[in-house]
Amino acid sequence: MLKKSKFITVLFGTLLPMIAMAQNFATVSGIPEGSYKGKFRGQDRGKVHMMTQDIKGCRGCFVAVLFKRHVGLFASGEEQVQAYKALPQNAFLIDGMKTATQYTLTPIGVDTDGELTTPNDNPSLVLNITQKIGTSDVEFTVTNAQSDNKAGFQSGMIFKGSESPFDLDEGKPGRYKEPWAGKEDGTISIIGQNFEDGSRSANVTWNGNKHEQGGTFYLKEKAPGIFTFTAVSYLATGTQAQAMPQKIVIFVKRDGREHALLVNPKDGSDINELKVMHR
Amino acid sequence: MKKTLTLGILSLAIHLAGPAANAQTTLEYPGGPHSGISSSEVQSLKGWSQNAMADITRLLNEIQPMLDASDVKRKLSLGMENIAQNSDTKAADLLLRQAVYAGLTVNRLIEQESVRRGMENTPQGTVDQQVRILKHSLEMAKEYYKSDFAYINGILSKKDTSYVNPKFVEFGVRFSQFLIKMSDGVLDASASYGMIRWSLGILESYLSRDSRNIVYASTIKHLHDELKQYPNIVTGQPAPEDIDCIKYVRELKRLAQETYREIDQTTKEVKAGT
Repeated sequence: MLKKSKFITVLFGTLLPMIAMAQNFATVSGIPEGSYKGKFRGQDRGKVHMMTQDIKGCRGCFVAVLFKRHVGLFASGEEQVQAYKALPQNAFLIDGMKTATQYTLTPIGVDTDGELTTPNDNPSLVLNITQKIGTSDVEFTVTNAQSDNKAGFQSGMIFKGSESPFDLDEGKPGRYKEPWAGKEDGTISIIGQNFEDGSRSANVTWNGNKHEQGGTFYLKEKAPGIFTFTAVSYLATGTQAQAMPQKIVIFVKRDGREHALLVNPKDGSDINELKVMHR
Repeated sequence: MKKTLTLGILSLAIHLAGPAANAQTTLEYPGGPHSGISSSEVQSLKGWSQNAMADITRLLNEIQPMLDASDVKRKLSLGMENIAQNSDTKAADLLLRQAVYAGLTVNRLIEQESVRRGMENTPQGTVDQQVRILKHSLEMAKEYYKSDFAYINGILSKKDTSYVNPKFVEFGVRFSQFLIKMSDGVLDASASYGMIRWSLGILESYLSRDSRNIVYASTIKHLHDELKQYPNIVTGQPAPEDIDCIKYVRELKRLAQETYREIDQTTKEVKAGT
């Protein structure tokens, strides 16, 4: 049986770059694609990690996964992940180039058709770039947007240029399993990527025989690094896709080892964590 | 005096809306809300809409077992192109035709923006949104078939070709709301913006076409004046930079909410006879 760990929420974000008026602002992106380690400010404790991936169809936009970790990686610690859609709040015209230094982050959910959406258009967090040196070193703070959107993280955070050991991964084919699960429980096998629509898609067999969601699934990338499951049913007329919108899937890598996080975007404490076993 | 002024504003808004809608380089599928209907076409429309309805039902059934969104998108867009081409533009007053036209136009827009960016594929998840838009367009086409049929019968029984399809405004609001919702999941800033901008433009056209357009004159004028500030990519105007698209999306969403509220309020007042 798949085990749930405490507090996991997935953050999904698009961030548009802002370049401030200082000297070395030759690059376009305010937040380069990468992984950042920071800490909470105020009441919340512990480290926070932000992993970003650019969105090709939106110059400077990116998906951000915020990950809060108190104890072990994907084990029994208090963890939270949230996905945000982050957009520039304002833009300046500097040397002929429009840039931004402030972004709004809006939590992303999954709608009834199994597609990603922003359930509440109001952002819940605001990101401010405080310093940028060269092309990759960036310091920024995250504050509460003081809106009616209370999904996901609410605490302030500060990122001072430290690199996080976590990276978003592409979801390679292989067998992923919960470390504490029984022999036949809690595994997903990503069989292949055989669709032509530009997404990394895969057939997934989830051998959770005590789990209501066991069966064959179709895994599809809906945004950079963010996947959803679709149940597949077999009928006399052929295979048929059915939305299964409860979970989003994020692949995270640390020290070369891939992990799959199955996250309920509506409930940050509802998460399954699986490690890659072999491929 | 007040009525004369209102009519003046309305005719100005309709007049000004014309050139943009007829621009040369356009992604807009032919047969938008600007076409008319003649008495000789009314009978043939009846037969066409029945055939189109059968084609739509068949198309929706055929795509059910298909898993690959690219295949579904191809099948839907080809099928819808066939339905639209068979109709020419004479069916422009039918909402079934309008739904097909709207779906095809937005699908073209999304593809066009990917090409413009030099991307080999649309961004992740975008194909799924295209499929949803095409499918929903067909579902709306099916839904409005009944009211189209009532409209055609209305023309025949009244022997009056000036009789206007009474559901234009309702359809326009619903489709615009749907596209705004879909735009959240389209990870292409200009396509997302273009969808919202275009949907509000056709909503303005639908309001103008409504038989009660005088009561919507103020809303039409407001919408028209506001939309002038925003380039319409679908009708061939150049796409703004991404950072501007994001800003415009926020502004247009606010404008859309205002417009829906005004339409709702006006419609309620008309029904109440005030």
